[in-house]
This record gives sequence, C-alpha cells and structure tokens, in this order.
Amino acid sequence: MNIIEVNHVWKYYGDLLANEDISMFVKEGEIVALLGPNGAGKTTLVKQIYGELTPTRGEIRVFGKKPTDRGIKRMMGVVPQEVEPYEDLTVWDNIYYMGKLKGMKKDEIKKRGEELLEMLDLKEKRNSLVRDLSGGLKRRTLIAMALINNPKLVILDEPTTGLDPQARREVWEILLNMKKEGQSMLLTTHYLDEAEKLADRIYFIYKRILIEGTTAEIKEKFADWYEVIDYSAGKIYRVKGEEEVKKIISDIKGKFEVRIPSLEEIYLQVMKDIERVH
Amino acid sequence: MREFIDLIIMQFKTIKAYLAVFLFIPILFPIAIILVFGSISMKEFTPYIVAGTITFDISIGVITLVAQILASEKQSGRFSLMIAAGIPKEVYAISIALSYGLADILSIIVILLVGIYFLHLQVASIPYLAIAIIASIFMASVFGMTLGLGIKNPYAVYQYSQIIGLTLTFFAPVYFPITFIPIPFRYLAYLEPTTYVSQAIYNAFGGNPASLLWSLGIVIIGVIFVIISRYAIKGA
Repeated sequence: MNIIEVNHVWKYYGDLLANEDISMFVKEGEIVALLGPNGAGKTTLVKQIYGELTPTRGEIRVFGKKPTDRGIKRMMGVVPQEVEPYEDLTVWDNIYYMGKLKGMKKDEIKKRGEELLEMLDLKEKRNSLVRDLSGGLKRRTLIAMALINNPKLVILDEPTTGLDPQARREVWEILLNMKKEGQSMLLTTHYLDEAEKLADRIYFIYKRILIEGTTAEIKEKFADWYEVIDYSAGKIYRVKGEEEVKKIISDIKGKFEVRIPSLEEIYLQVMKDIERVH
Repeated sequence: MREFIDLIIMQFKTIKAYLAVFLFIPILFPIAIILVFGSISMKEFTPYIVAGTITFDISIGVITLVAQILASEKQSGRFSLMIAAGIPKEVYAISIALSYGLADILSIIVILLVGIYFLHLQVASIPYLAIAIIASIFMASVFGMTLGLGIKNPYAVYQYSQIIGLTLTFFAPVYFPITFIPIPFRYLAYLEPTTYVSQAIYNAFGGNPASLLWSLGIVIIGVIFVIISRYAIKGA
C-alpha cells in the first residue's frame, strides 16, 4: 500500500520553478530518501506532502487523503528543516505539549513520552531547558516531538544538517532503530552516505526526479561505467564500456585498479550533467 | 478549542522564562515613568499621566512584543512545526498575540494600583475602563500580529516594531489632551491608534461616556488590522 502518492506535481514561487512534474510514492514500512543539492526543491516538495504548501498543479495523497486534512496530521510525525524546539521549555514540556496539540490524552502522552525519553536517551535531560542543549540533543528532542503520537509516517527534512559527525551518527542510529520497527519514513538529505545507509529507495531530485530506485538499482543503471585508477601515474579515468577499459589498461605501465563507481560518483556525474544542461 | 487553550498555556510557560525581562519592561519601567511624570506634573494632569503610561505599556508590551515574538517564531521555523502538527498558522499566531495581550493585563493592573495609591487617581467608571482596556489589547495584539507577519525580514520586524512602539507613545497625544495639538496636526494624531487608547482610558477615569466612542474607534482600527493581518498570515 502506498502511504504517500505524488502525481505530476508542479510548484512555482511566482516565476521561479521549484518542482517540475514530480511523481513519486512511499510504500508502507519503507524509508525513502529525496537526495539533491541545496535549492533542488526537496523542502518545497516535503512541505507540500505535510500540507504547509499546496501544489501549483498536480495532486498529493497521504493515506489516500489530501495532506491538509487534520486527521492525516495525527498519523504523521514531522521534523521540518532548520526548526528549533521551544528553547524556553524543558525537553519534557516540548514533548508533552506537542502530544497535547496532536490531541492525545494526558496518560497516553506520559506513557509514550517516557518510552521516547528512554529510546532517545533523553532521560537525564528531561527537565533541562532546550536552550541549554547541544545541537544533537535538540534534534533528538524534535524527533521525540515528532514521534509522540506514534505516527505511521515520519517525515524528516534534512535531519542531520548542521550536526557534528558524532551527533549525525546518533541520529542515524535512532532512525535505523525506527526502521527496524517497520516505521515508514520520508527523508530529505544532501548527504550521499546518509541516503545510502538509511534508505530503501532513493529519488535523485533537481526540481524534477532525475533517477529513482534502490542503491543497487541505481548502480545497476550505471553498470557500464568504470573508474580506472592508475597508481603509477596518479590519474583517475572515468570510462564507459568494457572495451574502453581494456584500452586504457593496456596503456598503463604499473599498478592499477578498476572499480565500479560509488553512489556518490554517480550522483556527482548526474548533477554535472544537469549543470551542463542548465 | 482544546488545542487553542493548550497553545495559550504553552505560551504562558515560555513567558515564565522571560520573567526578569517581563518584570522590568512591562512593569517596573512603566512604574518608574508614572512616578517621575506624576511627581513633576500638575495634579489635574494626573489621569493623563496614568492613561499615557498604560498606553505606553500596551504599545511596548503588546504591539512591539507580539511583533517580535512572531518574527522570532517565523525565524525559528516553529510555524512549520505547528502546521505539521495540524495547527493552522492563523490559530498559532492568534494564540501568541492573545497570550502576550493577556499577560499585559497584569502590568496594567499594577500601573493602575500605583496611580491610585501614589498619585491619588480616581476611577469613576470601571466598566468603561474595562471596555477601553480590552479593546486596546485586542487592537494592539492584532497590530503586533500584522507587523510580525507582514514584514518578511525578522530583523526588520525587530527594528520597526521598536520604532513604532516608541513613536506611537511619544508622537501621539497620550500624556496630554488631544486639544493641546494645533488643528492641522491634530488630524494626524487621529491616525495613531494610541491616541484612541489614551483618550478612551482617560475618559473612563472621569466616567465620561465619550470613553465608549473612543473605544469604538479602537475596535474599528482593530478590525482594519484583522483584515490586513489575514493577508499577512497568508503570505507568511
């Protein structure tokens, strides 16, 4: 079953095109990553999916309904981009009031809230004001706020941007644990390693969908690309087709290595092609 | 409705964190002004000193504060957080405006008590005064909301709201009768909402029914800001 369905969505800000004919979906229990550089229209698309913006053209369905439907929001947990929890409230108050705003009862909030404090390792910080927390702990608080209603779908817009490497790892750990529990997630990122580590499927996006598939499928699409590293000359050749590889190898005198390109190299190549077109 | 009340409670909890600022700017600062102005002015102008200080308090404590809080909420992305939680942005903006408006009632009461005990102010009509204050807080909240959401750049909101707050206090007839202003300039004073606030409160002190007319003016200005703020919220 598709939890999110995006059909031919276009979004303009005045004359500026942000999303061009985007169609995508997220199935139940799946983690999907929208991968693209800054300004690629990822946040615009996500904002339309959780109902902050409406498409100029096209249609979005979340759990079969319009994203602006209030009932749908009760089934969602969202961590928007570059958002801060309430700094003058404690970690617990942030979680508690988010539960109240999502229409939960006191007892439910207390039970789920305690579980989340435990799960996200926030127990010791329960009564700390958010303004006193590190970036990683603030992000964990936001995740707890998003998860308080036990949502069927979690949307995370660049969940690790601005975090130090350790805090990034911590957030990954949390998301991977959620994945193990069968949580459906849509996340946006411009980090290749993040998409590769977390996502079941990836959409390369730059205003429109460029490539779509699992990491393996995307690599398969670029299966005839090779990277030949000439260690003796210190050169790297990117070539297409086995014949070309053989030709280059025959000219190399010394040690060499032939690799299939990583997701990062494919991504960079695709983005380069896009830049050339624009 | 339940969510709206929860939002108000949440806002009050955050106000608690600013207690020191809240005690100084909206309470101690106006008390200092009322005592200084009250001690150097003639006795017959005492009601104007108190009415003017309440107007000053509403101008800074509601218009400026609501505008700045909303700008900061926009800047920190909390509108997105609320929309994602199913709270319409209009409801969120109104909850902030209302909670800061309501919090200001405390400082108005303190100013009134200082006026009564230290400057021997007499309040002839409490109903007129209540109507004037409620209308003023409503208008000031919506005015602050319009500024906070209508100006896109949050840093510009901080600057403009401070200037507007002070201009509306000291470039309007709030500490003296409107008749002190010569005729061509008096018409300009009628464009300033704080003129209506001060006059409504002053007339309420004297039990003059004209207070209700001034309050009506405040409500009309408030409704104009409601209309403008609807566009501001849409564009925010």
